[in-house]
Amino acid sequence: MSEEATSLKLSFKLGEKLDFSLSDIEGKNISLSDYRGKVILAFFFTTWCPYCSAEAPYLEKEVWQKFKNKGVQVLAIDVLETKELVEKMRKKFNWTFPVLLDTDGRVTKKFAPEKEGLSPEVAIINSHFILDSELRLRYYEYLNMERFDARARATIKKLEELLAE
Amino acid sequence: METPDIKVEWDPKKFTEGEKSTIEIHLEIPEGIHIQAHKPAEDLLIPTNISLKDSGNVSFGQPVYPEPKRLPVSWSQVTLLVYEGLVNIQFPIQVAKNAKVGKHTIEGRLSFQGCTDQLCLPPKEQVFVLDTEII
Repeated sequence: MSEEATSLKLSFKLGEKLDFSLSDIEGKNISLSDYRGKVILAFFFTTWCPYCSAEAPYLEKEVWQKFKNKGVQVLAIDVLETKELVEKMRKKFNWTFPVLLDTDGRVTKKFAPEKEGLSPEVAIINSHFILDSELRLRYYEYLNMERFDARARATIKKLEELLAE
Repeated sequence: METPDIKVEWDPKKFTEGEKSTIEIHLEIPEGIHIQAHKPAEDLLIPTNISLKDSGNVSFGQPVYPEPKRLPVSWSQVTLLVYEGLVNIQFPIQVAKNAKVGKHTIEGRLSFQGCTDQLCLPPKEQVFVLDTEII
């Protein structure tokens, strides 16, 4: 993760076991623990976030399609938007991984950094979290356009590392 | 960080009865922030839209937005279309022939969505008021 990420005030720690449940876009209840045994990449997004749109094809083609048969699970988590709006984004980018709806922001609050004047639902947008097969958090990185390239590479590298464990 | 307001100015500020001309609205986008253009790069993104409210004394045509700046996003295939810094938008204006002489206020609305290098800020709609005079 970036140096900046290490200096943020967070309500979680690397190595911590995490779990949550959210409804997916079809209304099905999905828990992180449903994917125990897989390496999970969770991506927080909104439909109006330009950088999320920029990254959307990469998540499907470079991450999900290349790693789904190797033990990786991608989960996209929308922050505070309607199912109808999120469905438009899913269709637009042909996402075939689960898309979850954090409609009340409770999962967002858990994963967002705490910073005065910065609401969790803004701070969390376009962030990556990677959990290992035991649901332990092993990597996270928030949006930083100076590291947009580096983060894309770091995410793939971390997935490969955890798959090799 | 809340989405900051964008400073809105305009000129000219004085008109004569019956005048038909063009006004220019100046948006001063805070440093470090870019906002999506009126026609953004992707259809789900939030466009910048500005409107001015007609009154019995003045009416406005459709705004003319400037050419956006192209902002490639790193390795992705997306090039964002954005505004940053000072942005000028033109509006046709028609002052009524029997417009009431004196000071008036014009109400306007500006909606936009902006990002910094580290945050994408929620969409915002701001209401603004412009002072004018019919002479």
